[in-house]
Amino acid sequence: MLIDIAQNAVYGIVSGGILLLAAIGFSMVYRIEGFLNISHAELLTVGAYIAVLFNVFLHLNLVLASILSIIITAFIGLLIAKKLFSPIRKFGPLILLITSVGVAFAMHGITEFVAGPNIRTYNVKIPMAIKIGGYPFVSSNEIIIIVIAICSALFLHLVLTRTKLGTAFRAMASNFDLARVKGIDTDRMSTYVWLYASGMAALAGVLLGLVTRIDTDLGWDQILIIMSATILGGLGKIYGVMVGALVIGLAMDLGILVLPSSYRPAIALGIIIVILLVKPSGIFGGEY
Amino acid sequence: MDIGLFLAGVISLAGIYAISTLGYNLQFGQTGLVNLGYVAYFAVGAYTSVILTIPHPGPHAAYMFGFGLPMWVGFIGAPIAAAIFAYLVGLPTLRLGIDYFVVVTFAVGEVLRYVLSNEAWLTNGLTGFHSLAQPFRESFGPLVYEYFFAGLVIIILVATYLFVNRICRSPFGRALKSVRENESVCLSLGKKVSSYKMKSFMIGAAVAGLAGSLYVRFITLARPEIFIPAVTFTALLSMIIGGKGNNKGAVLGTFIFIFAVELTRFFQVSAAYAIRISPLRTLATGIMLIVILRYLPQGIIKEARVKGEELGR
Repeated sequence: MLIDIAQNAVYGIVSGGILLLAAIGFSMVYRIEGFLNISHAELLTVGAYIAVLFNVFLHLNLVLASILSIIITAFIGLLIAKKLFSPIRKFGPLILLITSVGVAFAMHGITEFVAGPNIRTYNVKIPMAIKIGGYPFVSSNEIIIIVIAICSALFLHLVLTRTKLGTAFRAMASNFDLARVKGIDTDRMSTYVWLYASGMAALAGVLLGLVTRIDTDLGWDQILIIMSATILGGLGKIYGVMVGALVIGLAMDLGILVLPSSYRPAIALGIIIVILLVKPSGIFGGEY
Repeated sequence: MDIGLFLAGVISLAGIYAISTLGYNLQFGQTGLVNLGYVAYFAVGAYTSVILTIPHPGPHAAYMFGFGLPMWVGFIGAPIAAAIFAYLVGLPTLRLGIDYFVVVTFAVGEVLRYVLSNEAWLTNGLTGFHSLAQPFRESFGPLVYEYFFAGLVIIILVATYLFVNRICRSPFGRALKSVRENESVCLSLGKKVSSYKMKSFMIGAAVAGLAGSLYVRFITLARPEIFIPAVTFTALLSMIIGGKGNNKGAVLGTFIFIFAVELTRFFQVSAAYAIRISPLRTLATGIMLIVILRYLPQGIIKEARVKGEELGR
């Protein structure tokens, strides 16, 4: 029983780590552009499949394939933002939100058309399991995922607090107009945010593909929990979302010890409904 | 394929979805409630109508309930159950900001599907219910019945249209618009904004429930996998095509959309290509939504300004 709990806690941290990568981008885009980008989750699928292309069909190793996938997906995300979202920004967040639903559909259609119905897996060695007391406790893949998640959270923290770019982002996030008046190049900043958000989505997609299977619903299945993590942390709050993602990840994987496992995503919803009733501003105060 | 039968089928489908779009338009177009989990109310209506009317299950069935009531009880029970469900969802969510509302309603739609798949004692799980009875089935031959069903759907559509239109034109309907346009002003005029929102949410859900109960009779199946977000997005897209806040547009938009989708079934392709055609349909749906919002945000029929409304501008 205890080993089960520990085991699921590890799974939970892994899910939370992947979720963190996906939700930070979603949250940053919300903060800067002011709308919920439903199509964000489809970038996970796109990223996972581009890595499949390099890894499985072109026989590159997965690390290289992921890096290429992150770069390409980042630019796909930017292209979508500049060609589809920017021109209609003047219509307001609601139209942007509904357009993003359309974008999600279009991206889903394209990925499904190109990738076909086959389920894919990456061409990697079977991960080593580290055993504790005879039980396989954590695999090397899972450790890598946790390390990547921690590193990217630290990296973002350093960028936000130590660089001019980070200061500019925080200025824009707290007051867009004032930031622009003060001479911050808001267009360039939003370009960086889209690149970063889309790249991280691709990374999340690849990691998710590594621990589960890769099909065309990979990203779409995540959108609900990405939004849950974002709400839990407080819409648009970067640090809140990091914690929110971990809490949701842990809650889902520990929750299935008592609930049927198909209710896993429903646990995320249960949490946000309670949070919205008790403290609609998210679990963390403050601005970021 | 017999063209008459095909048309009857498409008209039934489009008619049912048009009813669903009318309810959606009341929530979103008229009141500004961006409900991305509309399918939940559609599903509640569908399952209510089924569970009320199927015969009592034998001792070996996975589900416990089946009341064997006449068909019309199902059609009345469906909207009532959907409205009650909307009331329960609305209580905590309607006071939220728009972005939170979007997320939570979307989640409600998704989670209801998990519940339908898992709670087999009520819904018979993933198997669901099949070979459902259809209204007045015995009175017609198998082919004629398709035409009869299409006619029945059209009659219910017209009734729903008149009902929803009546609401929209009433003082209550104008109050809903004022909630959409500016909640604070509406509140400052002493209107009960929360009560208006709740009523609109419940009536819209009831209409969805009615559409859902018709839909399961049309396809004679009720399974969780039917009640996917695509149902919500069909209503959303139809409303956007026809024009927000506009009941004629809602109906017209649905017929255009459903006919466009169903006509693609005429392209006869080999099985290998058929797998690739379905994603293209998804792609086309997405592009349609993007293009219309960008170049025709008002939809085909613009929302009519009520007489006197111009005076205030």
